[in-house]
Amino acid sequence: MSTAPSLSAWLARRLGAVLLVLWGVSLVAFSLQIICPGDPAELILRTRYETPAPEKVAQLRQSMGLERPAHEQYLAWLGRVLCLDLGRSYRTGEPVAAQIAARLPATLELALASFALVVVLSTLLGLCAVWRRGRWLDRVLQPLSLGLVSLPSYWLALLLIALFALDLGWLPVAGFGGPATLVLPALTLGLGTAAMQGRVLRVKVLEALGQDYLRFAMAKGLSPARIVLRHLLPNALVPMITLWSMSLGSLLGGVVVVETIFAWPGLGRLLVESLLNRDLPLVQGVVLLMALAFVLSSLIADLVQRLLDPRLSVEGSGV
Amino acid sequence: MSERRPGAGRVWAGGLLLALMALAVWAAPLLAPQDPLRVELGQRLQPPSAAHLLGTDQLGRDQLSRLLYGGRVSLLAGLAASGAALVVGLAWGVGAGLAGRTGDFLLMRTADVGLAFPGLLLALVLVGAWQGGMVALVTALALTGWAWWARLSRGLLREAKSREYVLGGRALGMGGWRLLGCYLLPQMWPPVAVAAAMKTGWIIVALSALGYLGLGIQPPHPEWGAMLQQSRLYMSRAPWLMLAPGGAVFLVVLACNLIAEGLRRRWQIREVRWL
Repeated sequence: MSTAPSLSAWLARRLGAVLLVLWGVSLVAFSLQIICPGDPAELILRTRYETPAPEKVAQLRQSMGLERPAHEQYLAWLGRVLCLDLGRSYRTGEPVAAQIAARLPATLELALASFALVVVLSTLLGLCAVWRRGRWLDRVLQPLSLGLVSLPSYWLALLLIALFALDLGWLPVAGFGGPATLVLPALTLGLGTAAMQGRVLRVKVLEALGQDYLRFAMAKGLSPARIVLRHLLPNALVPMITLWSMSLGSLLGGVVVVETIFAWPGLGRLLVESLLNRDLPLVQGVVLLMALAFVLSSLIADLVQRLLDPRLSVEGSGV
Repeated sequence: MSERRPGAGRVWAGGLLLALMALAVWAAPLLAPQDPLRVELGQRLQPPSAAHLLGTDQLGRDQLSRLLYGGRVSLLAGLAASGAALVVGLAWGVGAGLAGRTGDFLLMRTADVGLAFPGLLLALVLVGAWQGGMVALVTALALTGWAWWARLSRGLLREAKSREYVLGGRALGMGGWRLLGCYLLPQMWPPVAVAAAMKTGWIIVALSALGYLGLGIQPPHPEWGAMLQQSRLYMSRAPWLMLAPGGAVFLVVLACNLIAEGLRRRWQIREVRWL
């Protein structure tokens, strides 16, 4: 356990694990085809308003390769996916990749805005609570953040819409375009996560406050600002990076609900629409992309953490 | 909150809240003023009144009755899914922690695949593919949650294994099962209890989120998430409709989080590494 693998060895092992996980993800995505009841060929014919006559269905099944054994289908599908060919939508016949590319920017915009909100707000919340520990601000912030953590995002969304859009009329109810439409979705997506991480940061900073290096910094008579900026934050930052990268996961997951509520034309809404339409290739495409983004973001977070904190490579906490 | 037992107040408050809500939905047939499915088109979108304490929905159904019956689904399915995820994940993680290198590798890489899907993505897709139904819903949510438990319990077990008294027990020649039952598992219990309270809240939110997206329990049967989704359409005409179902989910989750927070303080679990 105490051996210190070099960075490249660690990275190679991590990358191997990531590839293995992605292979597993591809298996799950493919197997949706198997657990999904109903015949895709029949579905395609129906959405084209053709009567699914048995011979037509059989012909289409043949051309789609649905008659071949499952493992052959999987290999063929995986081969296409690796060449970034995600197939065509059952419903529109358009390439899945193109549809995803069209929806991606909206989701990125929303996720990045919420992510920025999470980072800024959680830092503020955490530091405020520590700065005023035990005083009224902390005493108000603690239950408030617990309440925010417990708020289901879809209810928060409705409350925000009722207040800011219907009552006050400051912001649009839903829709996409311009900064005004971004405010409510980003708040909905980010507030709960921000509150959760503010709580974690508070605990982390309180832990750090008891450490020797801080007592020493205080004993040296450094200014509070210098202590916070030079000594406290860098040490609290390392665990926060993990948490932020994990929050990227909850943001990606939350995007599905928030986009649906606010009619935001992103990937999450595309996923829900295609699920309700039973448009399997689209579902598979979005799932693969989201899992890929999540896995890669946690890999990057690990890497950054390792580069920032040399202690981690000594303890050799690997995968 | 007494000094001797930190967090006890929170545990009590959360537990009481949860017990009250469980009691209310359990006694739904007694408490509900009406059949939750009875449609009365003449009584559409009525504001709260003596006859309908929480008003009526777009089909004139009594909102309070729907809330009570809907809670049965949310609480029961949520607890079932949370429990199933816990049992499977715990067994998985403990198995991985006890198994040799290869077994550990295989078990944990499988769990990693489960962890690769952000948030409720996996549950969403599975429910969408299986198309509704209570069993499908619970299975999908359990399949989404187990991997997290596997990773947590493996970590906890490995930590417990390195404790001196466990090594001592081993040196005394205690059998593997006895060591596990008497020394290792009791050590894991506190963090597991905290996490269980937290995760149950999360699963209940996820369950209603699926309902909101139209993928959960299918209408006309009441479910909190689906009720919220309906209320969205009548927000300006009947704003009271969205308050009750959302507030109910909020209170359940708040109760779970209060219990988790209280237990965390009680046992002074500061570590958040496994979150």
